[in-house]
Amino acid sequence: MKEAAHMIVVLVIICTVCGVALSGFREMTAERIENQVLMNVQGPRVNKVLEGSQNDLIADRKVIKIDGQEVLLFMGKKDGKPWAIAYETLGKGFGGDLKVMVGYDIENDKLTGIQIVSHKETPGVGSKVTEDQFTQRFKGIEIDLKAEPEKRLSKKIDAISGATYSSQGVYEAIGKSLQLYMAIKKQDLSTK
Amino acid sequence: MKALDLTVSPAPHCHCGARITRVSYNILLALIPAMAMGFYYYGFDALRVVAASMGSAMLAEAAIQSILRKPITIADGSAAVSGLLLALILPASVPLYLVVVANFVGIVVGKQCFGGLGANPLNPALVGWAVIRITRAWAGYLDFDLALVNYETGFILQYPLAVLKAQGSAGVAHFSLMDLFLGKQVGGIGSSAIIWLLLGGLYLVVRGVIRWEIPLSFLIGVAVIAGIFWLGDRTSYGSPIFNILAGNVMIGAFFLSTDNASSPVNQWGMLVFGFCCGAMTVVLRSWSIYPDGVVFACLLMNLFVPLLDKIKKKQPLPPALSPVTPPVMSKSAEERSAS
Amino acid sequence: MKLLRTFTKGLWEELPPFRLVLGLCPVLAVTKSAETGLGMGLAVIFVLTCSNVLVSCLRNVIPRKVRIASYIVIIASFVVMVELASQAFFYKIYESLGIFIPLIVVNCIILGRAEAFASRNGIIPSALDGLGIGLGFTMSLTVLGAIREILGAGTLFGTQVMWSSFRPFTFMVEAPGAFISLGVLLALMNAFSKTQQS
Repeated sequence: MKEAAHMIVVLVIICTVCGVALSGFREMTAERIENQVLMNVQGPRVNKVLEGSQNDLIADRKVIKIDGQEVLLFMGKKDGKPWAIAYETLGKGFGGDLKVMVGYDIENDKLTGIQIVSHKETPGVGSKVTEDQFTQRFKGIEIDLKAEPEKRLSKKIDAISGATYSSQGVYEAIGKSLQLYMAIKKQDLSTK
Repeated sequence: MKALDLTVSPAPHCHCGARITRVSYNILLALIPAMAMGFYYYGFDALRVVAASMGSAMLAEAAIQSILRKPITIADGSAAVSGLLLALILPASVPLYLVVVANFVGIVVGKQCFGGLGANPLNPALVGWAVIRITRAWAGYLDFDLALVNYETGFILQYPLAVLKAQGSAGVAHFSLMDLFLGKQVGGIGSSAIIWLLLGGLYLVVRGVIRWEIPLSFLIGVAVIAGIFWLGDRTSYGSPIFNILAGNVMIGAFFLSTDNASSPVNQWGMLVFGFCCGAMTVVLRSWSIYPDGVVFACLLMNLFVPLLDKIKKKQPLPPALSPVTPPVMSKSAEERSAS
Repeated sequence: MKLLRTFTKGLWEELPPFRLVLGLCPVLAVTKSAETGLGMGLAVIFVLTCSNVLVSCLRNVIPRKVRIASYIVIIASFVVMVELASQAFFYKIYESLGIFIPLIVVNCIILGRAEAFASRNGIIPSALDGLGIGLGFTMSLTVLGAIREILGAGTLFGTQVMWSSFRPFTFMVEAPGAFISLGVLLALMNAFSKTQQS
């Protein structure tokens, strides 16, 4: 009985100390982690996708709700007026999910560009979809919102040879993004 | 049941002449017509690949054996057979360093690491092919449609199985089955010469180098499973005959799956092994991202060989008939079995 | 002198993945490049040293029957700390290691050292043991990662080292390449130490 009590007491003390230490540590790092994610992951991509905006893109982010799902929306402003938006969608690549940030020029219905936020593709092969050579191909393409889902982009984009699956993952993400774009546009028009 | 009355005489014994060298050289001989067809269609490029492949396979074997201080056995021809088999399932335009890497990995990792000839659980040629096939930066070299686009061969320059995968059975309607059978199809250097592979394989069966069970059940496996797929959906899957005549099935049935060390030793095991190879081939053709599945099917089934060997246990000799028993005992055994 | 040996034995005699053949899961999974191998190694050094020290401190307090549970709680706490810290300060490495940082908890090297060494020795030897074994683990991971990265992607720590027309042998950065390169390295090390002995 004494032995059992000893075991319980020691374990409880260890667990409590560890738990308190961890929650303290988490508290300390929480803010930094959030900033790190914004700075390292989304920041550089948003800045590239919405090039030419005059506002602080990270500071002007907001979360909106579309069809029950939450979307983190970045808004680019020129002369105080919003001109472009960007947000992330997922596609399936060869190694796993591909997170793609797509930017839209909301005045002219054009793509301002795409960036790969995160991926699990093979280095040197599938990872080529993250390079500018590929992502630049999407810049400035006009969108036809009334067309069939496959034909919404006015130009056909070639896949990278050897990275067909990764390229298809990017297309899939863009397709989903376009779907969302239509919904967001409706919402924006109704609120403004 | 009457037991056989076997007697084993004391030494000297007489050797029947079966040795590894004879097996290897017979296989090489059986592959010559298919190889010649490759040379005929693809010229010097095919010759280059075959020479590099056989050379590097033998070099790899000699190198690893000298490093491990084992007797060097390249003269038995087993490395040459692996090299030739690998070359015959590659397109003629493949860069030579690819061939060399494939052979080194196949021989060193697939064969010598496990203890050399007879101890390899996988066919070394298939290991080599699989390694370069799943290297995605190199996959373009092994895509027959891309690789063979610059050749003048006088037949349709489309890989039948890739067309089947992309367009369904309507896309392959213009391939005449006779052409496929005569080897007039895009494919590996030798793996597309169906009729010559069939003849070579039959020669090996007749000579007793390979057993008939594996090739026959392999082809039956392809036909049955392809038939099931085909009857289920005729628009997207090929007919059983098309499946047998296109791609690597013929070379797989007679040469790739019958590798002595990596196939079962007893009859039922062989039949199951061959049938499953054929069945897996069709399943991979239908559902995987690869147009042809023969190599992966054979590799997968190679892994099941230790299990398949257990299907039928070897019957131990009755104690009375074992060689060490004196003749007196054997007589009494005869009396016992007669009564 | 004895303390020095406690430290150096992890660098060759008891080199974790090759000599003890322990902790192979992260060895196979995170050595796609030298950088991730190094990052994983550093995380393991931290967890191993800290948990060894703490286990050694508490070795007379913890009852024998619940020692494994206590060790796991201690190790898991340090692992979560590493995860949070790497997320906060080394985000790139955190991203590339992914799930394998939390999986350090079940890395058998760490529990193994706690059980086999730290629970029987003083604080200073335990710390040195953790440092040595961790350093050996880091070295092995970095070397294996470098080999796989050079052959499989043509780069080392992200900079191009092979000629520009090199078509990478991407097999090496795939899972089967991990098994084969680990096996070949293990064989080479065994062959080397055999010649040294004779």
